[in-house]
Amino acid sequence: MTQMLRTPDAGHVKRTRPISFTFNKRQYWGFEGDTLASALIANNVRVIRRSFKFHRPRGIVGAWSEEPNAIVEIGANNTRVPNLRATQIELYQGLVAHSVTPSKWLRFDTLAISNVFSGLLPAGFYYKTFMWPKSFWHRYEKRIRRLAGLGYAPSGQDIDTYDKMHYFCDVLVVGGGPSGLIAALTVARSGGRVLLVDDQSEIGGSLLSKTETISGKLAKYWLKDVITELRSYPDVRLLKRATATGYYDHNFVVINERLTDHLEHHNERLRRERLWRVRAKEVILATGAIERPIVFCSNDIPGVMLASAIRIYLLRYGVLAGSKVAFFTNNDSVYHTALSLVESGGEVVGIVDIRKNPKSTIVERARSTGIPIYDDHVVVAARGGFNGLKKVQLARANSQGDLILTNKGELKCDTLGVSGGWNPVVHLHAQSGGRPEYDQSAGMFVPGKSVQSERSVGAAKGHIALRECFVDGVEAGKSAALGADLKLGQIPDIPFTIAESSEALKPMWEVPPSQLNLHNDKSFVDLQNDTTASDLRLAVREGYTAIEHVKRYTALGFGTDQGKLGNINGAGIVAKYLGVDISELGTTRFRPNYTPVTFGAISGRSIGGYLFDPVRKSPIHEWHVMAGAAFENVGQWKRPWYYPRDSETMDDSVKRECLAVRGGVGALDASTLGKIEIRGPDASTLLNRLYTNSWSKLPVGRCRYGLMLGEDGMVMDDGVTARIGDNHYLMTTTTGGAGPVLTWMERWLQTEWPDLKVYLTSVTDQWAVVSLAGPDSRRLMANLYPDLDFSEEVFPFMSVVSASYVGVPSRIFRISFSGELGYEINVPANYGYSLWSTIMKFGESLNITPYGTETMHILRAEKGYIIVGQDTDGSVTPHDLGMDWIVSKNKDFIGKRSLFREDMKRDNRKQFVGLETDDPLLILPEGAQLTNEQNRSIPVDMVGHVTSSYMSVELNRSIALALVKGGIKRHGGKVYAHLIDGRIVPATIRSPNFYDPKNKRQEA
Amino acid sequence: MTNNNIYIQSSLAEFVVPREALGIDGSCGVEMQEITEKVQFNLRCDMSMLARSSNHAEPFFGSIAELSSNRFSVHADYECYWLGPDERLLVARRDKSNLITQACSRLHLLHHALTDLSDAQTIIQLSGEEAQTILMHGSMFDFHQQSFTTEMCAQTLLAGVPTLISCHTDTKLGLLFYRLYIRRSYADYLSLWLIDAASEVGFRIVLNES
Repeated sequence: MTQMLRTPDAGHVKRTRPISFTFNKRQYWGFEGDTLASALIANNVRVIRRSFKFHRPRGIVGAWSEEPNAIVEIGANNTRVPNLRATQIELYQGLVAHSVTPSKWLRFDTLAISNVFSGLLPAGFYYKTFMWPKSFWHRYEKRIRRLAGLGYAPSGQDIDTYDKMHYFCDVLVVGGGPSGLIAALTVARSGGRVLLVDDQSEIGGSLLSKTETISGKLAKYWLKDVITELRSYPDVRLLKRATATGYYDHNFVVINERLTDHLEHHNERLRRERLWRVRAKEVILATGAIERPIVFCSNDIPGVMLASAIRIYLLRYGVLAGSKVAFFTNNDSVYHTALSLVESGGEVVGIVDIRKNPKSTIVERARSTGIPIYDDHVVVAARGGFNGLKKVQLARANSQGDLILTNKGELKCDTLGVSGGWNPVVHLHAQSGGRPEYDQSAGMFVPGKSVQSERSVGAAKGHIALRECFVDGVEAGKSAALGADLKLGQIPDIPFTIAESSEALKPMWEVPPSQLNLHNDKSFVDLQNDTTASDLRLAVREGYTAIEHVKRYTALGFGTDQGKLGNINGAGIVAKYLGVDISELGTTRFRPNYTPVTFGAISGRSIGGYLFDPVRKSPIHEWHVMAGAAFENVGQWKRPWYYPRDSETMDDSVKRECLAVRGGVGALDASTLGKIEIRGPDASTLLNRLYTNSWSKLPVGRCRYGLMLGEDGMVMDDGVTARIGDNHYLMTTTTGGAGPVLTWMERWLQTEWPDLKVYLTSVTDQWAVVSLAGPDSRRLMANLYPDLDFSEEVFPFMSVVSASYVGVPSRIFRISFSGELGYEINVPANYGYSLWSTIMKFGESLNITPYGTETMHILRAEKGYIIVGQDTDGSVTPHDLGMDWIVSKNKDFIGKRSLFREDMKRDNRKQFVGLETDDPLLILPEGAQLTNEQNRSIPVDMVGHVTSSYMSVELNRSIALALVKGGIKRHGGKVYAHLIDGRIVPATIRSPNFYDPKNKRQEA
Repeated sequence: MTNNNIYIQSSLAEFVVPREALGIDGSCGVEMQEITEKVQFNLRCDMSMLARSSNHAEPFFGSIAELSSNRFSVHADYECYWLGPDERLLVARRDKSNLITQACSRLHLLHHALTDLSDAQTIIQLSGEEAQTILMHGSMFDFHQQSFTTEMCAQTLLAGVPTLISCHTDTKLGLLFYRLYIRRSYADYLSLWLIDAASEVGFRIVLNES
């Protein structure tokens, strides 16, 4: 349980709760409250992985989401999660982690040879090298990916579940540091609905690693008091482990909350992650700042870290980053860390400060403690090996910082804390539409003008001092509260903090390559992508002048860290090479997501299985399930597809069902068809305008088939409409068309024809519909309704009657979509199941057979009845379908003007026909392309395609429906279907009505 | 043949699920119940004209016409929900069905449409401390009491299902509860969704007595 770099008492970890974990198959110990990174550092594990391109050993650099190097995977098989940052993984008992690295062993990586030949692998190497032959790229890509060691996806279905939450608040505060907390407190005291989110396991931000006192108390006690007060307000919600990943229009912010990743055991009832979709009136961005490194030679050697990370590991986790620590800085902040290290028993071997003779209070304090300060110096190079840093090379640069003048010797150390200043986290501000601006005096990009109702505060605004953060927070809280129409409550006092003099930062992006031949290695700008300063130089030399282009050419900022450490330095270096000011060059665009988000969180619970998408079921659904039906999806509906018996195949079932309908009686659940009640004195007028045919003279009790066109004259839906009363119609639509047709009708009524006295109501779900078809259907109906006369004379084809079945109101239609004698019984849906069951019992003596949609499709195809959306595709007119008979020339209707344009009457438009293959057993695939000639080399003109195709049991041959250019006048002619396997199948064009062309059976 | 085997079956009558599962902390955060004993009618008409038809003898019409948007009113024998400027949902106990049909039959001079939707829509009642949270999981509507409180209703999507959600107060317990009006074809899916959403906080399904 030795943790050689653990301090005796610093930090917030629970030392009474030791935790065992495994990294790269070796067991270590940490404490509850550790991250994987802090525990590894405590155990003196220096190398975490090999780098992406040059396979160089890499160690931990940061302490949170900015970490570019410490990429690991946890879990195995279907629980494997690759590409996590060790700095963000909370330690739990039994955690098993591995390096995400291409080589099996970290120490021996044969691909590290690429480092030797790195001169041959500059930026753009992949683009330039793997271009020939073009078709080989996919082979190259696989190998390149393997060599890069990018981790592996889980091998099975995710066992975790995910969730979403929709949330509204007056003020969303992103970040639980000092400015965020006091801003939230200001709004909370004003009675506002506040959501405060923080991405760490503890709320507090920088206060968690501060030694200063606040209003006379230790920071942690001030923090505790504020959190307690915030929790006392019923409308304040605090979320930890929640990252605001995207900021969109209308103050819509997406937050990813991690709920179980820190737990030892999987609990299937707990969601792993929850995606919060937050709509806030006002947003306060208290996202803090990330320390900026300085680029120098070999700055990737394990042991070179951010100075702020050293501070966090020490003060929050009680871990010394190394046994001999040096610092390299251009500002005051590292001096606090150095002093804390000394107080905790660490050894600080020196502070290398770019500035000449800095004199701020904290510098003087460090100097008086005896810490060696090398002012007006730079670290020109780091030196070490696989086991990490051994020493740094010092030098003196000129006053502009662009030329190394003198070698100043070496400083032995195993850890170097680097601070090149601070980069405010402006990501969310930029995503909201703002443009970060460069602040010359502070040497950083700060938020620009707000576009939405948001404001940045504290370090996110570039205000690093604690007092400034509190002042900012209170002011932002007040303005957000007023912006959300709240009345200001008691404003929190600005907490008292000790003010110290400070000295300005001296910006430096890169220590210039030495002309003194001190060292000759790479200077890394983006550690995750192995992008070097020389890559950027090359990009500029090759003519790239926009930072967005340089990014794409060099992969700067492409990794899972999204360049949180490298991007600004990269921009600074490119600006220098271009000879422009960084403010002129700007930054790359900050896009969502701020940190990676799992697909699970994005999907929520709609990730598969029964919750994937809403499902609609007919009132008779359970009967079909018990009958063993196979189902097909029709829109959101589940419809019985066919009913296999015993060991029947689908073909067997469908054949049996077809024969039953043609020879006896079959029953189809037609409840899913759209049904719209149309009521009012102008109902006939509305129908006249919507449909191509005339409705005024349709008698009560009769039905009519109608075609509905779009404004472009193309068929958009069809169906039978019945006249129930003088001012009352019932329209049926296709199953999928019910919603769109109702919307279409309402749109016309509300926007163009508000004068029409018509009301529409969807009754699709109100009625269960049993469709009976076949020559025996009349006998069955007579048994069911003994008081009704079903003779042709009294109840002819296309009629409707209202009837009662043991007191149950029902509507009976005599219509057919099968070409057989047919009836449709409509009853209120709650009676549907028992009616169907009763019919099946009544029909036993007639050998009644339930049939599904596949049989329905075949029966209608034999009759040449279209299915809108299958035989039409939005470019088909009634003329194309050979349905001129349904188009009235004496009235106006939607689409008429378009329909009668010259082009719509062209002879060579694609027209609806039937096809018979020369081989009667060959079923053409739907979608097969048709040509006029059999043997012509490609390219060949396509003259149409197959829309529907089946084996007809009744006709004992295959049949197909198709759209063929000029097809209506080509009956008897030949076309050739081109199959995907290369076969070319001849077929004869004919009428689409294959069966009972005179309709004697359905009108019997 | 006998016809006596015809019977009513609500959309969730065959719904087979665990009837109860406690939450992770052992609590039951949500109770769900299908409300089956109601009739529902969709009424469409010009509400300003209807208001003019209202008088002392016909307070029924006044209660319908004067309803504010996204509100509902509860009366002794019926409830009226605002669906749109010219559209209401009238809900009553089954034995009070005639009250609505007979009253509307007196509107013969006013162009209107009264459509029975009793079988078209399923009503699910959601109560318990976590009922609001469950709704927040599935709907991008603000259910906070400042925005949505008793006698308010909203038409929105819940788990992708078009739903009319109304907020009620249990006068005995003083707790809010919600009613979800959905198309019956979605009832099975939405019930499964609600149970899944409630698995963390625990749920109990209250059965209707047959």
